[in-house]
Amino acid sequence: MKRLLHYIKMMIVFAVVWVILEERIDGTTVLMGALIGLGTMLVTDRYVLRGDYQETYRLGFWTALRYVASLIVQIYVAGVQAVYRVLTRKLNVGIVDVKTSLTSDFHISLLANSITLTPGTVTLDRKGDTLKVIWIDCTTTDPDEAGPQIKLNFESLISGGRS
Amino acid sequence: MNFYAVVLAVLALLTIGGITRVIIGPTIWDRLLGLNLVSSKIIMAIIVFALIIQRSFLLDIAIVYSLLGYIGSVLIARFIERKEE
Amino acid sequence: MINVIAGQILMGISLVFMAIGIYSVLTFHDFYSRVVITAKVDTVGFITLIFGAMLIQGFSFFSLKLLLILVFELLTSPISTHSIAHSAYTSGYTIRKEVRAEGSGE
Repeated sequence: MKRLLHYIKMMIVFAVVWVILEERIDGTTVLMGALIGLGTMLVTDRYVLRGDYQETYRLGFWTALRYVASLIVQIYVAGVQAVYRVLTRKLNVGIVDVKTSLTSDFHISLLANSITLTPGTVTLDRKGDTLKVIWIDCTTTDPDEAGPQIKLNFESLISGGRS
Repeated sequence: MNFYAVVLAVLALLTIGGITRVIIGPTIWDRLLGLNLVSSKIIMAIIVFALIIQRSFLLDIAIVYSLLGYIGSVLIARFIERKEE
Repeated sequence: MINVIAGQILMGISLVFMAIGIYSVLTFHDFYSRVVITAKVDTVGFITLIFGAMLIQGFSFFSLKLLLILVFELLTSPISTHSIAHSAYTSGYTIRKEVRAEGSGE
């Protein structure tokens, strides 16, 4: 039953994407998009992603919206800081470890993605719950001190709306 | 002087800068980084050109190009990583 | 008319950002600082240019497609940056300070 609900939700998303690509809104286009989406999902479930992933890749709608809005603001802050660093050429590159309290794989990869997009840091590697991060303004190599400066508030933002 | 022509010219200059990094880059990852930059510049040039001639089918090409560039750079990065170990 | 002017100003800002990205990728001597700086600046330039084009075009299928491109780019750009940096790190590229003329880095 849950699987069916997931299929229906994803079919709506696929139909919207298909309508945007086709640039036409009528019944045939919407139906065509939903059917092509269903076929794609069936093939992908059967041959590529075996197993149940519907529970793994789940994020609430409002969480996603708040996450994206905060992400775009942080991207602009990052851009302005990077320009400042380029013009003054103040660089002090180092590699630090950061511990995270998130547990599921999907959330950790979202956190790594947003660390890559936010000011001065790029994620390198992950072992368990420890992320290796290049930091462009490396003042400390202690994981406990560097953690809050690198992760900002994304950790609570990602796990907060887990309803 | 048209505004969009200036934008396209600047994009072409930036692409040449990226290609310079691809040519002179000392390590192979520098070349890969330059390739990434060049592909994103090309996507932007396609978007500006679609804005000039007001045809939206060019945007489909931009979508396909962005996905292909992403897959290409990830695959090349993975391949090099195994080679060097 | 006002939206066209605002969109063109946004496009100009994005060109400035990208020019700084290219300048940094051409002048820095350390691979890791190049990766960090260009990943940020290039993403900012891309987002700003797409917002400018959406402002010029108004609400239509054209700008919806631009939104689709923006979503793809936001999802895939950090992954490709991360994979390049990860590949360099795994293959044993260590941090060098700003030294000139290191010659053969391969």
